[in-house]
Amino acid sequence: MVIHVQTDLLIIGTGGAGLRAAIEAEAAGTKVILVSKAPAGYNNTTIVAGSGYLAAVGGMTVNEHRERTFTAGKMVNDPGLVETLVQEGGERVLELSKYGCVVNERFGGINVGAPGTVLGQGITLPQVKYLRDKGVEFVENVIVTKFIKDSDRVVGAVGYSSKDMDVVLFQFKAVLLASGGAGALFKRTDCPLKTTGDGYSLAFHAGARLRDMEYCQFFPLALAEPDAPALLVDGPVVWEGKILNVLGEDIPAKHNVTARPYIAKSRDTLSRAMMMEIHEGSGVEGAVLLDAREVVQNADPDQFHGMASLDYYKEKLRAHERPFRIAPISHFTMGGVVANSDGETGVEGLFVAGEVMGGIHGANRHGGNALTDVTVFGRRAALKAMEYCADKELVDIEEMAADEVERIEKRSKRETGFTPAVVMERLRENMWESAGILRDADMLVAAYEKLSELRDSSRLLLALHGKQLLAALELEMALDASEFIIRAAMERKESRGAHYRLDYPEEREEWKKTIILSKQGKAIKVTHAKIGEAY
Amino acid sequence: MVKEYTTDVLVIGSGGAGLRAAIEAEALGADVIIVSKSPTGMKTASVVTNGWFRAAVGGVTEEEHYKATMAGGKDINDAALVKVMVEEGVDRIMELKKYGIALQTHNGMVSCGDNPKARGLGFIMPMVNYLKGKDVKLVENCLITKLLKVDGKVVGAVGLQEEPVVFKAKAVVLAAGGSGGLYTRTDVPISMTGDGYALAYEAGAVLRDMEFVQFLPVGLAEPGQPLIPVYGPVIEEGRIINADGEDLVEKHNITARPLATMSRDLLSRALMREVAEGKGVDGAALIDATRVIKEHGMDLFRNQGHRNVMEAVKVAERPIKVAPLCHFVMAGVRMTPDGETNVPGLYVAGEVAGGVHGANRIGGNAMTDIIVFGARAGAAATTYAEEASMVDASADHEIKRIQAKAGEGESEDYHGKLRELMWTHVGVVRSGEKLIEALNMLAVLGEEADAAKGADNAAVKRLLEAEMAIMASVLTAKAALAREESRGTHFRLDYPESSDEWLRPLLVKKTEDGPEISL
Repeated sequence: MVIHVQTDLLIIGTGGAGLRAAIEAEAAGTKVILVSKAPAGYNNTTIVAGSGYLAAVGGMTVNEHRERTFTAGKMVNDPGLVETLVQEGGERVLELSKYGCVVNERFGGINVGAPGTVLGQGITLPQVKYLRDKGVEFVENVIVTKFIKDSDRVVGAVGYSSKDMDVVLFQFKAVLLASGGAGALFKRTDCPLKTTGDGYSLAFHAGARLRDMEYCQFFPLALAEPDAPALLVDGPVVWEGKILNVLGEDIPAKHNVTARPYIAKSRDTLSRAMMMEIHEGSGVEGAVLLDAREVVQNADPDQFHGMASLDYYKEKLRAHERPFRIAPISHFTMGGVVANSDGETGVEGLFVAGEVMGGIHGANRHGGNALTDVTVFGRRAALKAMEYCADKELVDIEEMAADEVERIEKRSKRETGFTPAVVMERLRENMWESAGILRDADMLVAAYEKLSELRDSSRLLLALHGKQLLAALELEMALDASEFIIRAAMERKESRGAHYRLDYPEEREEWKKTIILSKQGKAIKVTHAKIGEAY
Repeated sequence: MVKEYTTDVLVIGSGGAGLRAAIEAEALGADVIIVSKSPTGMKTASVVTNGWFRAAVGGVTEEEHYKATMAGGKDINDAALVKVMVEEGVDRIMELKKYGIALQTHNGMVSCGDNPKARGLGFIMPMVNYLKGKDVKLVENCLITKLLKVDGKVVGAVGLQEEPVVFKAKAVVLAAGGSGGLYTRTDVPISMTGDGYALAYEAGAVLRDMEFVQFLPVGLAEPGQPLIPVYGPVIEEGRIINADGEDLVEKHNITARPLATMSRDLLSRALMREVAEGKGVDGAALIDATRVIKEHGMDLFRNQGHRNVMEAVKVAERPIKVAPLCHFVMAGVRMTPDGETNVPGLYVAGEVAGGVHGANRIGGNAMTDIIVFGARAGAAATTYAEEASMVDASADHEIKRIQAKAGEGESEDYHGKLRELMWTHVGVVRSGEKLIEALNMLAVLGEEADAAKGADNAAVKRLLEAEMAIMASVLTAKAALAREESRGTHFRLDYPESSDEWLRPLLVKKTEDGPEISL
């Protein structure tokens, strides 16, 4: 049995970008359906976000927002996209209150969520409810595996439902890909484990181009204590504590990391400094130390909201008695699908928004810009996609989708082999070890060769119907996304922003350009574009 | 119109190996066709050699010849093949006189051709003329694009002249030469683009040693000047230096002399490492031979053409740019001493075969190799053909593929791109990173060439040849990536040492998922 879904606009992903796009489409009266591989609104990056938006509100000017965005991005952001972000950001973030979000304005942005809300739940869940109340349909627990093209136009998609254990065929006039990034391709991450880069693979195979895939953002400050989750560390312990190597040297001072707050402005440089210490043997089992004894002893519990409570620091970490271990975690993917500020990709019928789209953040994202990005570009892509839908008809895709349907069905036939989870875990270890914060030619070669091995093992998966088969299909796209990252990282023979090469440690003027990956038959073609000329 | 030929033995390639195979097969009573992509005998490596055979003559024993060959090959050679070459070498060389080739014996070497400037021609043309006097059909200017197989056996081939051509044969001797023309800097004819490797690979043959490509260390690298090899006192007594003026022979501790023959691998490596580290000049190193010229005068260049070039680059006044030149490919199809491959009906001989020279060929052995194994493959193919029956294989699929290559299209220079890529990424100094980049660029080139169309017959031929050249390059790059050590001509910056666990040839064969490499 095959499940058929028909709609004018299909939105893939139910994070901030997908939801904001759906709100726009619903308001215009367009028939819209959202599909997500987890329950709607969960398992996306927005829901685990710190809920802070950066925008020109509360007294910050557009100029300042622009300048901060370019500075953090090491001047390789797409200027057109940045302009849209900073011009529209203020209005977009404030209007979130219309869709059920509790918006607290402050200098340079907003925070979303009522007191006591866990992370970004205050962003996604109210918007899901808003849309459900309006009668918008959500298709949940379905992974989309392939876009179907009728000559040059994307007219449908094939997916698999882990709940119904059936193939799903989507027919649509346009599709808006808002499936998020690939932060979870690295072992240490604060991204939900489902953010493994499906969208990059989907778009690439449909003929869209990818850019900036070498820029993977790591958040420097996260717990690395055995038996403790890799929680983000911020607030008073960071403001007043000291980040030290095992010799007791102050790491930010030693590596000249001065832009503060680290959480917003020094994600790339501090992550790199910490990993350099670890790499050179001055770490503690893959971590460095945060000495916050004094702070924790004297702190006001009210200052500890959001990530971890003062009690947690005291009771679980004994942070008032000893330094505790911290290490970076993967947080965000700057790279993504090449698109203009209307989310057009150059592939007819395919629009993108959110983390899956590239270019806005350049080589390193400023804190708070991701959430602003998704609301601004989610809305814009929806508007453009609806305009595109206006004169289009649905196309019968059954025959064109036959190969992919057969592939999915064949996938479930094996009854022995590795489970997808085992291979995914190895992939995440590989990416962390060899294509993470510190890179060099040898590491990237090792990463690439390991990736080939993992691809071989992925052909022999045990993938029973249900969640396991979904995971197997997800794994194939994760392998693609990993290859994009490794290939781009190999290509960029300099260090810039989040991309650091031990063998090319300097930023170089001749590399102030964008690396583009495009599909050439079965191969990945690598080309370069001038800044601002990728689209 | 599709032309069709039927024969007992089809020989692909008309260099020394192919001609010698044809002579043998014809003498044993087989119907023979020789097909070549240029006029018979031309554009082969044989025709441009200096015409020296290494053999157990002039006081050198077979034992010595054997040992020198194995030592040169870093013991990767197939010992059985080397043994046969050494034992039969002298007889095969001496009997060349029967075909009208003049010979002269030296210490451990035999040279051929009476005109020293045309030694390769002196080797090839007498054999071509000999065959013209026999009942052997020569099909020229025909690019073979596929070996035809039925029931796992090779039963013919398809090619393209002005129109597609089908050959039905009881046995095929593949003697299509190497792939030295796939490097920007090379002294072999640039028509040597590895067709044979691609044909054999696609037919399911096992290939070996694909990573081993030999470079002559010192060739001229002056803009606008021919890529002539530099020998003699200029190298041996001149100073080979980098951009900083450091003496590279000293710096890299190269001791085996003469450098031009005994230190080909180490000196090539030294030059290109300097270039890789940014101490080159326009991708080359320098030789300062001003003192040598002052001492010997320009008379030390006996070849007038070389002398003119050397005058033009002012070798007497200033350091000249030099860099290695691709010279020979040790890689090839795995064979028995009778030239049999793992595919019934397919025999190989010459540079397209692998295993004789291991990781590095010593001077003079190429010529001995091709006539010994050319004769053997010709004989074995004839014996096989006597038992085999003519099979009617359908060539429709391949003919359609060839015809489909014709159409409106821009003419990309895939050969040029490929040669540049092989030189920069799969050349003398290699690394995992560069090789992976190369494989990925090759995959892109392959897809582009596959989708491209040729506006006329010449363009179609170029495209079909480019596709095979890309395949051959992929096999070389894959094997080079797999061998995680340095040995002979294969040097990896990231694995600079030799290691005993790699003292085995790498084999490559076709699978559903592409080339599979095994030890």
